[in-house]
Amino acid sequence: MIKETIEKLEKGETSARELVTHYQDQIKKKDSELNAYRETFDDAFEVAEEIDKKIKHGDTPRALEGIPFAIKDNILIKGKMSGASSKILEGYTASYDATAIKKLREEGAIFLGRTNCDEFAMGSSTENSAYGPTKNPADVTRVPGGSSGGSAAAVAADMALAALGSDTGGSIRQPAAFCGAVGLKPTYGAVSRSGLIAMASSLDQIGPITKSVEDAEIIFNVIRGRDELDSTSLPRQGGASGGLASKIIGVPREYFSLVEGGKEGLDEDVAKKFSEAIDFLKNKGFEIKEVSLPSVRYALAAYYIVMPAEVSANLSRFDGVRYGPREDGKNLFDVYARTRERGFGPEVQRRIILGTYVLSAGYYDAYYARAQKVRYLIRKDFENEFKNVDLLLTPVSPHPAFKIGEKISNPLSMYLEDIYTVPINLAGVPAISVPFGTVSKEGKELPVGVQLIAPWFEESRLFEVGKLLENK
Amino acid sequence: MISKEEVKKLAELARIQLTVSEEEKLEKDLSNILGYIEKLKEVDISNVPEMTHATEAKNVFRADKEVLRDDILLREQFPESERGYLKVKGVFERE
Repeated sequence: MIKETIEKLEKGETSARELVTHYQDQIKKKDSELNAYRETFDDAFEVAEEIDKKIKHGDTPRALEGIPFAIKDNILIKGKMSGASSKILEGYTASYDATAIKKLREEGAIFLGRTNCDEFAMGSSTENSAYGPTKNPADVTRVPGGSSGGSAAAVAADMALAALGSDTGGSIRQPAAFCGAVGLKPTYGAVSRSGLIAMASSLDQIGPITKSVEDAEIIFNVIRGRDELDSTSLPRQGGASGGLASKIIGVPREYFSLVEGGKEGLDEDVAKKFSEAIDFLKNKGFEIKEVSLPSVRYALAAYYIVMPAEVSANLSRFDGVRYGPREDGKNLFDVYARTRERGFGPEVQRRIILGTYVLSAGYYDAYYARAQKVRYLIRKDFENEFKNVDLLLTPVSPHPAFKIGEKISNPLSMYLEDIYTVPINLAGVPAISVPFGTVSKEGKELPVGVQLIAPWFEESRLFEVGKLLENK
Repeated sequence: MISKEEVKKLAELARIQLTVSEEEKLEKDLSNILGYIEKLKEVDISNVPEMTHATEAKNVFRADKEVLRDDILLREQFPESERGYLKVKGVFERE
């Protein structure tokens, strides 16, 4: 869609102004029900007009010339409010551009607005947003997934041509799958995290949510690369394109028969779709091989130690001193404690306190050190199997989009949502969620996605096979 | 798994004021989550190193020179300020 849109712009068949008008009309029509956007930006038209002038002048269009984007509410755009959908950042205006935003801007992207998400990206349904849940465009009684649910819903409902999200344990891929969009979690370090409101810094990555695999590829190529402002970002590498490289695709047995807590198995219809995807790729000439990642069954447990530990440290900066609303108190301690009581929602408080617990003196070895060792084993599992296969194929989520309210009262059942996506973040490898048809639930057609996983910095393999899957 | 006293202590360490019903809910939720995490004890971790970095990059340095950033917008975010300075409650209190 990006390529076609830019061609039309170049030929004068459409203008950036017309594009912005189209998406703003869609937002006006649909968003009072869907609640995907927290805010739309008035200056989108001004940017569009500048772009139209350039095109008229005969300038060669840049990689994202005139493409209207939705941006998750935890990625900073200078001069715009940004709040990670939390009360503790209400009214906060970003004083700089995230590096990913700067790069989009330099390639001609237009920002339509910022999208709703779970508070500080903590959740799998957007129900943890302090500003109400986003609804799934395919069935408004269901969640869009999360945490980047607003971005996924905006793309799926044609309220943006593309979007940025962030993924710490599945927050791009799961909502993309639930809404019927493409979602890419790049290799850890491929995209700068500067200007992303931090959740768990050793796991967070920014990535695109799009209408096609090709669009995800175009955006990824714009935002990737080493950045001085993020010392964990790495130079562009791998992915020498040209020639069909992938031949063998592995299906981890721990994924396809994974049963958690005795009840959280794979939905039958989703399992059927997944088998179809396997057959489809076989017919395309790929060799499908059963492989084993023995440590992934411990991934979610390790994640719920590593992630909250980093959360408790990262979120200590929100204390009412430097930005956001400040509650009054009789002393400094009181100001902190009251501001954080009023500002943080229950899930954020839960994770901060859980993180404080696992890092407490006396518990460090039992929890944090053990989890870091298990994380090492998980990474090794991926390393080992990628010696035998070019890619891995798994479901994205055990079932399609669930009902609003279904899981919100039981934190652990919400955490189990991420069982298929979390191991990828722990290992740091890239993965893409590609729509693969729908399943019928209560008379509605709900999108289902499949997940492709590649070795570190081999995103090009994801795009290559992802394009085959989306065109089935 | 976790006692009410522990929840209180943790909330104090985390600088979050909690109501009694929030403490009770947390006690239950945290015990559930910690119960799930217990399964890590099944893993044989002898001779396994900790994965302390997400990438293999080590000792990432930048040039030791001054970097100036526009701080006007940043200063505008202060909840309370006086003559351009960030205003906070005193750290030390008189007994």
